[in-house]
Amino acid sequence: MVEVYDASGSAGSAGPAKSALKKEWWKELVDGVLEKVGEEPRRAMLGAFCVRPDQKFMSQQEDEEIVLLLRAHPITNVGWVLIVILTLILPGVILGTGVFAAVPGKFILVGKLVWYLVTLMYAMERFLFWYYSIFIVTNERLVDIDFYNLMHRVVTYANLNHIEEPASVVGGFIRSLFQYGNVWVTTASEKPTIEALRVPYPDKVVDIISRLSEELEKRRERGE
Amino acid sequence: MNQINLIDLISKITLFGVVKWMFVGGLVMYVAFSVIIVKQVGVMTEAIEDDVNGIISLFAWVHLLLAIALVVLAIAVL
Repeated sequence: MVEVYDASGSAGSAGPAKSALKKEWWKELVDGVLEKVGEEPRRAMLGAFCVRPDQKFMSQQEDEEIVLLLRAHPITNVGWVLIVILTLILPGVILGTGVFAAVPGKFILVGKLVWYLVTLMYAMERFLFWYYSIFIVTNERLVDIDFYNLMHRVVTYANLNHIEEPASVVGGFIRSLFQYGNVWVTTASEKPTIEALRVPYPDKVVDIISRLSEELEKRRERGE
Repeated sequence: MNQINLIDLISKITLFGVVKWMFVGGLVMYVAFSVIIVKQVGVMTEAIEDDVNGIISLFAWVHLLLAIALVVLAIAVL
């Protein structure tokens, strides 16, 4: 009875094991591509360049894994950070000149609190737009999530099988110094290009996208 | 009699009284804006699963509470 059980068990488990192996084909594909470009799972540039992060995004499929998660380079935030610092200093400077000497203290107090709260809101808004406007490269497709204003989200998908010419543009002193630029990917869909703007290491991004696309093409040719 | 009351009432209006209610009105609008930010954070955090999502949501709620507290403070103090 035991032998019969064992035999049927091993025969029965071979199927699911094989299908599980087949199910995770993309992991081998991603491993191979990352090895070729000399990358390993990491989080760099304050989360602006994440290789194989253990994260999920909306509408992610079961056989899909994030290979790259990109944001604009952190240096692109310098402008608004300086504005925030200035607005934090400004009340002290203006009050120091004595312009509001005739205004009662309670109005000054509430006015300052309102000013700082608005500054906090501005900083939060800018951070949110930076942090959640992301470009994702998975083993199957490219996903561009952009936020243009309050409550306005635009999500663009492009299948890696349908992309044509990935290209990167790095120009100017600051961009060259901090190694960031734009990535443009031409697609065969209605929206002709999908772009990742001001992302770190654009050449590497293009390299990974090209290799993933190539590997998928090879798989398709083999009929897998 | 009513005319005298109205004149009496108008004469009691001060510049800082007007400023106070302008402050309060502006802050009430700001509270509405803070509610939108809470909603916006909800929309953003559902886009990607991240460790900081909870902190950002908390921050948005704290911001809303601060805005409400400021309305109360403006009515009470000014």
